[in-house]
Amino acid sequence: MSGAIPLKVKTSPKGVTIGGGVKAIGYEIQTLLERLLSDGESGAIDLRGLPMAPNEYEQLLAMLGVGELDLEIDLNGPSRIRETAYPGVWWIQHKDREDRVLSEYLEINRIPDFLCAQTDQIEDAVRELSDRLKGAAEYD
Amino acid sequence: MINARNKKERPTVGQMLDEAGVGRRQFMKYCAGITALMAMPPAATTAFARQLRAARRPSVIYVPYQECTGCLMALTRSFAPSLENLIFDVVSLDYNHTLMAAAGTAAMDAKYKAMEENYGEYILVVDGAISTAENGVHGMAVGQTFIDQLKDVAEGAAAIVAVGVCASYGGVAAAHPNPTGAVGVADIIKNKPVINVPGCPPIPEVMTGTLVSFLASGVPELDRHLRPRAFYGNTIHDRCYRRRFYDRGLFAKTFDDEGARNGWCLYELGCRGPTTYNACATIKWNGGTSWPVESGHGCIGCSEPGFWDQGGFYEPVTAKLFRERGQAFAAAAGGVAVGAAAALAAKARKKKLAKETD
Repeated sequence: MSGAIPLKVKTSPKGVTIGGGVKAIGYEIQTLLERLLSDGESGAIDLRGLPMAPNEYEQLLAMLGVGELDLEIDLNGPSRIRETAYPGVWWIQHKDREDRVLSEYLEINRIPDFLCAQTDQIEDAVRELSDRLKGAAEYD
Repeated sequence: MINARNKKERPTVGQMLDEAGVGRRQFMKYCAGITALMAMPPAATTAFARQLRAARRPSVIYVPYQECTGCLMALTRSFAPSLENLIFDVVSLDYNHTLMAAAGTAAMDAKYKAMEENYGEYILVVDGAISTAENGVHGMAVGQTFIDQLKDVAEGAAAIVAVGVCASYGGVAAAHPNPTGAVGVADIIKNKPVINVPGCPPIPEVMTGTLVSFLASGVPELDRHLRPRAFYGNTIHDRCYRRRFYDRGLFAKTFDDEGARNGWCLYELGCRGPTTYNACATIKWNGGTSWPVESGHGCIGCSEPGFWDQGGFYEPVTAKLFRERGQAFAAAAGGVAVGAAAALAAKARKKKLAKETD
């Protein structure tokens, strides 16, 4: 038994009937999760790139359930990042100002790449903070 | 003769975005949209964004030949990912005589100036076929044939993007009997990278995605018809939501029968999905609203070479293989037989799999 803090799942995927097409996506997610565990390599599934009927899309979302985190960010249109009931599986949807979906995908990652600060940003931050501190020192 | 005498240093895309107040995550959101369309993993999005930010703001020269302006209309109505901004702000669209305010000599001067200042680095976008019959006299402007115009402007280009099936393979203008001898760009220009983005029109997101992909990482991987594999790697049939009915041998017989309404395969009604490589089934049209097959009409194969001469749009795709028109029925039957055989094979595979699982 691991000592991990149990994830608080808002909707349980148990009991949801899974159709053939959705099951296939489920297996792909499972494979990507296993790869994330073994090699640390992240993966993504573009939901707009799958030949799904509308009811299958609903089935897929029901199968994935809802986890603890649900973030909404306004970046020239809303972006929603939701943890599913399966830790490491994130549902991400970006929309434009007119509420049209720009992209929608599942990201299999410890934390979505989109949220991570990038190396060049951190380099800028070091430089800017350093300048600020030097400036502050001059006023002391 | 245009040369590199007055070449200018252009700002990077990153500098342009910083000046415009576009935040990094906003840019990442845009890149995520593009890389998702190209089926790239999230880790690649970060690298893609970095490369795109570092790219120099490109000069784009957009030249139209034998065309209907449909491709340009589609491009300027691109939804995802807000590419109007990219096209009109991040890239420098230095010449497009349909969109620019200037006309006549002033417009031509703008083209020559852009060619001179960006020699060897500009992206040339070609829209429309090029007439070659009788030394190209069927297509002329400013006293020069389209062939000569294309050769001149291609000379200083870093790469050429042929948008639409006409610029790619001759398209509508090249339909039998092709009186003007219309051909695509790659039939004339042999010494520059040519990227074909065919379609009638192409999907707007594919056009803009190809331009951005070129900016970030150069000429993308192309198929044998010079199309980017990221967008043209699968047939319509492979990604079609009606495919499962094809596998079961269930075909609509008319456009409004029960089968058609229940999503059965449109193969017998002339759908070109099995032989057409494009991204309509996944990216769809009008901001992902729908696409022809979802609306109940078969694919007409507009992203394939010679698509106007592939037989009637309402005959099964195999019909053109039969010389006699009367044999079209046999072709349809052949298609059904292929579908049924595929269904049987799929059933057998499923049974075998079930046995193995047990």
